[in-house]
Amino acid sequence: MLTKKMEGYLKGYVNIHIEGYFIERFINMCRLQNIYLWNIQKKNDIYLTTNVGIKDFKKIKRIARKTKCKVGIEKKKGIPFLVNRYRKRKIFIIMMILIFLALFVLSKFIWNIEIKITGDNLTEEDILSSLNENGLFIGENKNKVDVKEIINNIRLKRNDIAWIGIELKGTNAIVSVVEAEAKPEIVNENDYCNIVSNKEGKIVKINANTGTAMVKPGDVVKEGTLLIAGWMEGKYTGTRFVRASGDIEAEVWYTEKATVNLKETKMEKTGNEEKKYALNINNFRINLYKRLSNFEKYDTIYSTKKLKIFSNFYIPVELIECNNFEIKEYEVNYTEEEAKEEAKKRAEEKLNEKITNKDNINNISVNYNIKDNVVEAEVTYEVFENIGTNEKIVF
Amino acid sequence: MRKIKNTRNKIERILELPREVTTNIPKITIIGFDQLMIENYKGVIEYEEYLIKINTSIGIVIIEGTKMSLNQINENDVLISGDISKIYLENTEEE
Repeated sequence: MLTKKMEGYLKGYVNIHIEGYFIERFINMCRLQNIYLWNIQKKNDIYLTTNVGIKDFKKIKRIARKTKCKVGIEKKKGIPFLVNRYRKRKIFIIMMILIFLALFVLSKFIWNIEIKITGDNLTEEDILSSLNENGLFIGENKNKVDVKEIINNIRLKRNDIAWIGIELKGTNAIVSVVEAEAKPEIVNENDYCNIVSNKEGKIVKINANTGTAMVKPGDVVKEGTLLIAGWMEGKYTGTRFVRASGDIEAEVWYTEKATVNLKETKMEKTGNEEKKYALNINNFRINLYKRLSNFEKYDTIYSTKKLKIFSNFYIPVELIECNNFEIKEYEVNYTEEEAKEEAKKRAEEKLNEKITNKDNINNISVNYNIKDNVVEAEVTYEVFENIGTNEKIVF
Repeated sequence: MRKIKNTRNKIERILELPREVTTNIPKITIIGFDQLMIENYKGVIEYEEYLIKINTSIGIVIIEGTKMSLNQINENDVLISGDISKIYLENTEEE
C-alpha cells in the first residue's frame, strides 16, 4: 500500500471529479481501457471523485466525452507538478544549483587546522608554520595534501616532536602532536665526572664523599665554577679519576626591584560590557556595527570563531566577536610609608613566583630608594639551596 | 458441450489448480466487515454510496452498506471499502 502511494507520488496523479448520469458506464469503460482508478467516492447521485495517474488522464477525457460526463481537476499531486511549479522561477533554481556547487567546491579545501598538543614547550604557531612549510595550510586543495609525506617531512626536520598525526575530516584538519621530551644529558654511572655549580651563590657547607673539594665554605662561586673535582690525588697512587659526589649547600640571592609612584592612576572595570560582531572573509572585514563604542574608555577583547555548517564542515568565514569592557580611571595618592609598603609587596610577589621552596629562605633584606616621587624597593632573599650538577670529564 | 466442461473439470481437479485462475469465475474475499475484494469481475452495474452491484461471469454480486467507496479499480479486481452490511449473490447462469 505504501509503495503504491510512493509510486503515485513520484509519477504524479490528479484528483478529479466526474459529473454525469452514466457513471457506472464510465467506470466500466475505464476498466476496458485498462486504466487504474483508486479512491473512488460518490458524493451524490451524479457526482464522483477519483484519483488517476497523469498518463491516464488524457484517456479519461476521451472516455468522459463518450459517456457524456464532465471532468474537472480538483488537486494535482506529485513531484512532476512540483517541478513544473518551479520551472518559471529560474533564478531560484540557478541559485539553488549555485549553492550546491559552492558547497561541493568548498568541501574540497581545508578551511580549518585544529592543533592538539600534548606537551608544554610546543606552541601552536610553531607547529602551524612548519605545517605551512610542508604544504598543509588553510585554503589548500584536499587532494593535494599528502598526509604521510607531510608527517615524514616534519618528523625529519624537527627533533622536538615525538609523534604527529594528521586527520582530514571534512574541511577540518586535525593535527595532534606529542612533544618529545628533551633528552637530559645522561651521565653514565660509570663515567668520571665533576660537580659544577649551576647558580651564583656563597658556599655554606661542602662535603665531598668522593673526589676533591675545590672550594671552601665562605667562597663566592659563579655559575660553572668547579665545586668537587672528579679526581683524587694520593701519595702513592698518583692522580686517580673518580665519579665525584657530595653535598654542597650554598646561599643563593634572589633580588627583585619594584617601583611605586606616589601619584598613580589605576584602571578598573566598571562591569559594563557590550558585544559587537564582525565578519572576516579572507582578510576582508565586514563590520556588523555602526558606532565604535558607547563608552569613553574601554578595553576590547577580540575572539574569532570559525563558522561551520556541520560538525566538521568549516567554511572560510570567520565571526569576530568584540567585547568592550568599560574602564574607569582613578588616581591613588600614597604617602611615603604606604608607597614603601606597596613597593615591597610588589617585589615580593615577583620573587615568590621565582622561588619554589619557601622553607629555606634564610634572610630577607629590603632597600628603599626615593627619587622624585618614585619609591623603589629592592628586596633580596637569601635562600639555602643545593647547587651543583654533574659534568662529565672530557679527556 | 457439457462433455467438454466435465472433462475440463476433471483435469482441474486432478491438477488441483485453483478454479479462479483457470476459469473466469469470480473470487470474493471479505476482510473484516469493511473491505471486500472481488477478483475476475466483469463490470460495475450500479454504484451508490449505499449499494453496489457488480457483474461477474456467473452472476451479480449485490453489496449493501453505508459510506462505501471503490477503493481500487483494476482490470481484474475491485476493492470495496466501507461499512458493509449485506451481500447478495444473484445467479444468472442458466443451468
